[in-house]
Amino acid sequence: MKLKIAALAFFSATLFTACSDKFLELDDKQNLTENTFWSTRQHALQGITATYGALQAYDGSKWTWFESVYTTLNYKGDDIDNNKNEPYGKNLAAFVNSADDNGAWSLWATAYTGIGRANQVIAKVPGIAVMAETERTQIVGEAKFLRAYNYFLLVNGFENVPLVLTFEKDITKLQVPQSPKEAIWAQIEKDLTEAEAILPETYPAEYKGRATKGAAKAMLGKMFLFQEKWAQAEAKFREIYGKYALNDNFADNFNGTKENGPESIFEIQWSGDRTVSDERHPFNFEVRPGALDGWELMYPSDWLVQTLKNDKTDTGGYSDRVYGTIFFDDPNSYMWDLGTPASRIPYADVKGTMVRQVYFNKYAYPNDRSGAYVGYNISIIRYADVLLMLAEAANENNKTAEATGFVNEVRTRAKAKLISGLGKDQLREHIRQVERPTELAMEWGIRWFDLMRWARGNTAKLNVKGTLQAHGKPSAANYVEDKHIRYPIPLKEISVNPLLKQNHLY
Amino acid sequence: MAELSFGAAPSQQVYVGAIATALANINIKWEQTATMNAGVSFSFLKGAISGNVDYFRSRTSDMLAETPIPSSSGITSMPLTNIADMENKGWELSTTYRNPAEKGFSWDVTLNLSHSRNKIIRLGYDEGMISDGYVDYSNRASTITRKGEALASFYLFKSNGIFRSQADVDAHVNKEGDKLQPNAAPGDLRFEDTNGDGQLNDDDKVIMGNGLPKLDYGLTFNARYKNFDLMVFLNGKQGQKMYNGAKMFLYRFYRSADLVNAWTPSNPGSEVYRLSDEDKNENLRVSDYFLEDASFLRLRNLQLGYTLPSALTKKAYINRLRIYAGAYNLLTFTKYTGFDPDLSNTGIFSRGVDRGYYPMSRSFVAGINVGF
Repeated sequence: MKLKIAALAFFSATLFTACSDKFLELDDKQNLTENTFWSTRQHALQGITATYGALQAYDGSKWTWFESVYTTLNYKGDDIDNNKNEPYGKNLAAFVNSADDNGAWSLWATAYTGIGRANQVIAKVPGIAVMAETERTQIVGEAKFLRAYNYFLLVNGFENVPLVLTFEKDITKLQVPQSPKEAIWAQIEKDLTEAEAILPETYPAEYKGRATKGAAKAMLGKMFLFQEKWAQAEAKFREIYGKYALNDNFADNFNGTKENGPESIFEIQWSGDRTVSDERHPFNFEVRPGALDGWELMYPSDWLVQTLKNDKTDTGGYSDRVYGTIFFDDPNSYMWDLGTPASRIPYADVKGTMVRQVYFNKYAYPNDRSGAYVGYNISIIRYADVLLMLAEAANENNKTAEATGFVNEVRTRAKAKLISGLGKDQLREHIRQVERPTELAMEWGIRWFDLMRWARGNTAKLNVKGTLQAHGKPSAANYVEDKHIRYPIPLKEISVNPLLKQNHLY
Repeated sequence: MAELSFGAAPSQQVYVGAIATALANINIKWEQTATMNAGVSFSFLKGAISGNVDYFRSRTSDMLAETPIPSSSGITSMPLTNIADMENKGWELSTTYRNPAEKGFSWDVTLNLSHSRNKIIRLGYDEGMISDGYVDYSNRASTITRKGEALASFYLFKSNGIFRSQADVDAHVNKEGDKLQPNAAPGDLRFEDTNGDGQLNDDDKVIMGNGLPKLDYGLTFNARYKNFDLMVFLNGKQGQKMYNGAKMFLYRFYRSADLVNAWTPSNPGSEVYRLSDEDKNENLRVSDYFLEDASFLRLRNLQLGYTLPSALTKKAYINRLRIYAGAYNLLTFTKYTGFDPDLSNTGIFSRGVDRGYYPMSRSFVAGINVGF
């Protein structure tokens, strides 16, 4: 009897100690989780697609993309005069924004979302054994390119930002301090150099638009230019010189017909598709006049119009890029309406019915579906920009004649009269205040960052306030030196991350 | 030449992406509340007066809420965490008087009163603070939640009237004589440098109470006379504040009727600040200019009914037939200028912030109760 009880007790004891809590852990079968994701080629492609997707906005919304990110990047420039009745970007444009401005936070969040996703790809894709080694490395290269691009936005916009290179999953460890900007620039260079080595020259037709070797080189060149490393910038741009071609028609860069085409180096991809998710954007409505069914969120500034009107052909008429950038009182100026098929409306038809005299024509093209939002890509870097950057670098390296040649390539395409006989300082001024604004007016992330780099640099250091005032920027008097050269660190971020220090004077 | 295919170039394949967009919280657990309640039930005058008085103190540990995290993490969605410990304490009184029936007439009245306060004992894992109560898309947070303060306390600039003239603007200086509001013009709001550091900035925001009322009360009156019955229910909140974000929104988009009376050089005495395109002085910043007293008394339910004599109805095999008519939310007495002083909050951290939500409606009802 006693033995039996003892035996039973012994078995029971072992049964209890042998049990563990493992069976209490259940996998989430409803959602994809870390345990199940990152195991197939499909997952790797989905991951990198999502990282490209963050280029649109942190939440993938076309409204956030325009109203919060585009306005933050572009409204402070002297080429745009924002519609003061609309709230988006209004405080930023008038240099009266406080630290809790939503636009600044949206730019921060969008860049870091891209970085966070890139970090996931970089960490997880190499572990997908079923994929070919080359494809794994290529995808990691694309992620590094995107990470570098997003840090480029952050370091130019905010200057003092945290350097996040791993995707942290522990909620208690998310507070990170800012890094010195040299560290950010160094990381950008490292990522781009590694990407440059791995990325392919081109992609098959169905993947056109993904980051290429040329895109990495262009970004590297731009990065060197922004740091005034003129020799390295010139050398890098020369590596892609001749590898791309300018579209014959200036307007084809903005109307979707030559998306991912010969002049395109890197673009934010959109399509008109609505079957999977809404892949359209409202940019055409934002710039069009009310008389032609638009919302008039922004106008070309008077200075820009004046500068454009100096861009003449050999015979004294206006160049293609004038007609392709603005809609103004001229017998050859027209805008497409929103019908199907769309018709060209000459300025004379709507003269006098519009609130302002001049509107942007760039990106104002309609869809092939009547009245709907559009799906044409937005250029981040295009070949004309590279030529002008190459010209700028070459000029600083005392190759003024050759630099003039590069500028003239861009001018030839638009049928603008060629320039000649400019000295080094004159060419620099011309590129800064005439050529770049004329060719690249209101394009994504160009003008304001240009002004900032010339102000931060030591070569012919730009007086931003003076320039803005000379160009008639409204509220330029509110610009404060050493304050508005950066966006404020978003107050929302500082509230949850006490390690962050606010930027000077905010 | 006539049509070009803009927009969607041919064969644009849409690729679907997938990636982690939210963080999991492996440490999540249920909230727990420990309550201490002490009370007295009383009854006087043979039950004519009866009631309860209670004092309570409860402590919620590991309160679950969506927690903001730094977006430098790459994640903008907010994970649920056990973010806070909170203490609530207060008292409640409920008392009823029944008038004994005489000549077929009887009535009773019940009064409820309550008062409570809360305080955050612990917040987050790093003693941070949570801003919420955004009144301008995601801009302009009006509340703050942090340790030692009530949940969703209003955290606002202190306004102090309107600059009536340029001399007023020039006179508003700090100790060194520098203008505190150099961008202001006559007609703009004056804000106080509350911490005295000589600069007007976010550090001058002050905690100004919260959306919890000082007193929450209700009064129910029932009367019966022969076959008639009357029910009146009033409720109200006293000492309640609300941030009128809807008014701020209307001012910002120039749609408020108040703006007809805005400050102008020919209308210098107005309490409405001047209209301006660029709002250089940031009159729209979160301040007590938009913080209002939202105390109210509302006649929530009024109902008069008549029960048909049972002798009549029994013939139709109906036990009881009562017809009634009444109204809900018939009258509201309040000084609050927004839609509804009794709005429910949008979230834990934004209680008391009115973003122009749909108010409660007044309704009139009539009906029949039938009992078989």
